[in-house]
Amino acid sequence: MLALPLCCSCESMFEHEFTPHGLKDKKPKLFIQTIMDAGKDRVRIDAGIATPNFGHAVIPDDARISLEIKVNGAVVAAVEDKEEALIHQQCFYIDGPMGPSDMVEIRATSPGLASASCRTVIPSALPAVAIESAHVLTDKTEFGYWMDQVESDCTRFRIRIDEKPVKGRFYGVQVWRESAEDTGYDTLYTMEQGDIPMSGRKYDICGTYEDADIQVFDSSCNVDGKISFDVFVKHVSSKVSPRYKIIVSRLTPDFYHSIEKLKSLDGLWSLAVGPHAYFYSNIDGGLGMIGAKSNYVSDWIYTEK
Amino acid sequence: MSMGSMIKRLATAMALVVSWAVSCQEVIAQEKVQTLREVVSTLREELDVRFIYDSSIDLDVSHDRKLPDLLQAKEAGPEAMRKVLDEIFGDTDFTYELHRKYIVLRKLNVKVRHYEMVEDSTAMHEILSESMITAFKNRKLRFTQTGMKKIDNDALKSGVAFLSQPDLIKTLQLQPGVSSGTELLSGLYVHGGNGKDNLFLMDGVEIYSVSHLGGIFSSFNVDVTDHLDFYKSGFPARYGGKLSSVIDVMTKEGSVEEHHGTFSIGLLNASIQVDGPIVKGRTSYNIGLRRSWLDPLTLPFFAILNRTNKERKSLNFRYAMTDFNGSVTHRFSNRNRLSLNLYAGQDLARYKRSTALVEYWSGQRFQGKESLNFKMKWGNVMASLNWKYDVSDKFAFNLIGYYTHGMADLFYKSKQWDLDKRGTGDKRAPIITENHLDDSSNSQIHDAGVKADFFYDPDRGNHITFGTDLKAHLYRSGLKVRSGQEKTWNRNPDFNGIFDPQSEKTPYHDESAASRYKAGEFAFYAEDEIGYLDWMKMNLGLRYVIFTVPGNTYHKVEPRAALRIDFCPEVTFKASYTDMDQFTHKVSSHTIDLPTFCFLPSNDEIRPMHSRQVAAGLYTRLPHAITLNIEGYYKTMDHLMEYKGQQLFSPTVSDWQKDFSEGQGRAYGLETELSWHGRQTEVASYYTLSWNERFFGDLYKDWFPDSHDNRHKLTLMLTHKFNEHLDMNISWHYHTGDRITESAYHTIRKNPYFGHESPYQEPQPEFTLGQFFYSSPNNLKLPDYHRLDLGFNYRTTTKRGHESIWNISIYNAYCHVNALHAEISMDDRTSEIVARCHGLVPIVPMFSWTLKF
Repeated sequence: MLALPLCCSCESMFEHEFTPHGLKDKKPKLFIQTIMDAGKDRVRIDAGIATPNFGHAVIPDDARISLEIKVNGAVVAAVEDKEEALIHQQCFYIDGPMGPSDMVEIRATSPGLASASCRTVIPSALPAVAIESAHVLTDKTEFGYWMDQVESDCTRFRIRIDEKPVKGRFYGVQVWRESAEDTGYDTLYTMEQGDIPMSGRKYDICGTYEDADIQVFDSSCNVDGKISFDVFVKHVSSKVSPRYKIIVSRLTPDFYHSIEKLKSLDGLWSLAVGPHAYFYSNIDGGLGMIGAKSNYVSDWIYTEK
Repeated sequence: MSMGSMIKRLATAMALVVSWAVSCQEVIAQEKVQTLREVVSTLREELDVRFIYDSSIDLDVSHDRKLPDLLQAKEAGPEAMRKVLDEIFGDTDFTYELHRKYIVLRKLNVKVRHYEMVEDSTAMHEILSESMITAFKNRKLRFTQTGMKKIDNDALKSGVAFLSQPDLIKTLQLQPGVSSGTELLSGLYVHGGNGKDNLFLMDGVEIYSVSHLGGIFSSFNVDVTDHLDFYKSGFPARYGGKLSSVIDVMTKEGSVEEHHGTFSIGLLNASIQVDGPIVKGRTSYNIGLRRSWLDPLTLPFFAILNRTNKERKSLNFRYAMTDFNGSVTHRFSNRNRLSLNLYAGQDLARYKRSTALVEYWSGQRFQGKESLNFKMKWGNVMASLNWKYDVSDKFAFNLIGYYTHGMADLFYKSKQWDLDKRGTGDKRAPIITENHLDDSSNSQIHDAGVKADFFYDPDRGNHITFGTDLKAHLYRSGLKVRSGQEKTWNRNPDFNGIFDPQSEKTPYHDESAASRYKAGEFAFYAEDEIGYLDWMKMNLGLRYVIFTVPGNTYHKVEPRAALRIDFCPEVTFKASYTDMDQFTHKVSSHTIDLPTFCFLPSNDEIRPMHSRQVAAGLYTRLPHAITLNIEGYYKTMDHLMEYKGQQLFSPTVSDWQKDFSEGQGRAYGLETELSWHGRQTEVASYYTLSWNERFFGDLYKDWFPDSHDNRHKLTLMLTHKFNEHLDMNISWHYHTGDRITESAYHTIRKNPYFGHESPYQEPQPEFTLGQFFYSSPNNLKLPDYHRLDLGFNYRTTTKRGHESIWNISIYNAYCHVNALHAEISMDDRTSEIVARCHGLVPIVPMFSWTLKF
């Protein structure tokens, strides 16, 4: 009887707002966000000023960021895209293409704020890549949907890279589809972790790159001493005449880990019972991430005879 | 012979017989020699005193001193008491010390280890609080180890009983230097530990599964617990295998005189404990059983619910917890005893749900069923045979043969049914799809081994302890996943309104993984407590461990040292240094104690964890029964493991080490303990100032606070006995909030819908969230934690002379809902960043009834 009125009286305490104390992050910080894609003629670099969540820091409206970019030690010009209406953030482009082993260094500055810098090296090109496709039934679901694993009609692309597994090497795959229905990057079907089951099976690590699904792998994915992994897309019938291009990339460790950790920070991980959530940032003195990838693009693959 | 003479002769004969019988009785009475036990018992009853005696004393020896006038001694006071005791014990092999109502009885010229002093009565607590006993009053000062706490059964039962159950781990969570982790649960984070690095021993054997109900109760039944030794630092060399703490629980031996028992029933479970002689004076038993009783109540509830449910749903939930403790002890003599100890504990949680589905299409009725069946089971089984033998006054040994087994099983089965009314292509008939998923995982650890401890006192300044522990480990983990699908569609593609089903089952998609590791562990230790000087003692020890798995063998040498300096009888300084290694890892992907973990050994990729700790402190006994202890510690930890994988519940079985990152930890702090013991009141306060940090280089480039980096922790406790019927205890707990990782920065962008809302839409904010950035792990501190607990015990005596205790406790009496976790988001209306915390535990009143018989 005592518990009931007391519980009702403190109902609002089950969820309430609070002001965090003792935070170290009180001043604005610069951020840099970019992926140096060796296959692109123009590479985008986002840079800006991030506001601390708490602490009433004020960023002047006219605060600007300056970038100094070097490729292999030589300064390159960065062109700002002023079309995008951004707040305390600017978008820059530098001309590509980058080549394997090119080192890219970026330094961002803004008056009154500590500078931020980062560097990355374009990964080496992939050796020979072989791709097989097959129509399979597997218990994978559409990436991003939190459902129980259900059997799905899928097209499997088995990718083999003529390379020995070496720890510290990372790979990514995106699938481009052209069909009578649509054209664009295809949705990947993965072993997603939903509410249940609580299986100990390894879940696929899948993220987003340029608004499209990218599935990432490490060197533990190997068969008979060669790198090998599978990706799955929804099987479509021959009537829509699908054809595919598979973009296989070698990723820098930073890029791989950023996708891995961003996934960790999603949804349930914020619960106190979950494992510690970690992020990844390789920007010195700032926030964000710089990564790089080099690509192999397959020829057109026709899955339906 | 005349009648008279016959009667006379008969009477004489009868008189002779009677006198003979009487003389026989006198002889029997004389031959029924008074024993020391009887003397002690008589003195206890007549003079209302208690005895503490050296356990090597055989109470059943004869003691033929005639007892003087005890009533006079009782009324006259201490001097008269001494005279009585001189008459009884003078010029015998015994010596005594009198302290008010306590008499310490020792054998002359025999050195006794402090832990061998026993009490002749179990109801000691109230008398201890008023008496000053040489053997016990400065007990904490007498130990050489820092960070050691001895907690007896009364202390375990005297605190607030959460959910009507006194709990061993909840009692330890109150200690300084210990973080409790998630509220309500049995987390034990000692001196910066991670909760999986505590060594729990029951009668010398390790227990792996130490909690019930996800961590709400511990697996240790307080009714059968005699006492426990809790070490936070200064670990003696006989302990090893875990980094942060040792909880050495000893269960009670049964009484050899008469049968006793305790029955208790509370809100969630009931327990019964009985002990008594099997052979009086020689062999005794002690049995304790606990069982939750919620499932018998929920069973009819769900049966009624399902029967009356009109939506064709059925639901069933069951949780059951059972644990059993049993021991049989045989005393060959006071120096030689053999005991068999058994423990079995299990938790079972089951959830079943099914729904009958009906769909209609084109006048046809389609029926299907969806179901979900989920089961979790976890527990521990332990058996040990323990032989203790005091060979002589200088040499004793203890041999244990044991087996212990921890396990956790998870089972999940689901079936989904779906009617796709669109059909495919030109087929307008529906397609029915049934998906099946079976998922099970299990984890087991089996240990079998032999332990031997030897105690040798060559002279008064040396107490040598040495021994070995040889054990075999078997680690088994496995998982199986099976999924399949059945599709049903209309056989006739020209649909004419009749559904002619045709089904096709896909072959099951099976996946399984298993791991099986065997490991051997051999440890040898030796320690010597050197105390030639009355004011200084040193304990020097060494532990050597070999841990071997296929492909790897680890050798570890663990030095241990402790020092005690008595500045005066009331002030002691202690210092210690310890090295500890941990070879068995409790691998889990979350921080609460769910049965979704694996026990796995160190291997070539995951090295044994290692810690070094130094501690020092000042321990004082001030006037007016005030105790003040101040202790500091500094601890480093290497090869710690941090989960970095994707699973929320079960880590992967194969290649599990890939999901773990290796790093370091350091923890340091200052603990203060201030207490006062009065006749009826006890007040205690514990304050800890501590830091707890981690470094995992592949996750973050600098040191960061651990989740349980609680800078300040304060516990205030008050126990008061109003009278022989009523006592209460109040405790207030405070600590600075736990830490979580949350975003630290954000960007904003213009809201494209701002100013373009339709008349029916709410006004849109000008700015929306761009993205969040994270700066460092565990950057956000939750709001500070505090709660008040109250407890009352009302004791009466039943008509049969049994003690009846009603306990009413209130957990979180002022209903402060402490934060369990928090999140940061942008308010949709104001575009402000807000931090919102979520709690779970409100006020929880509870009661229980206990009968002691």
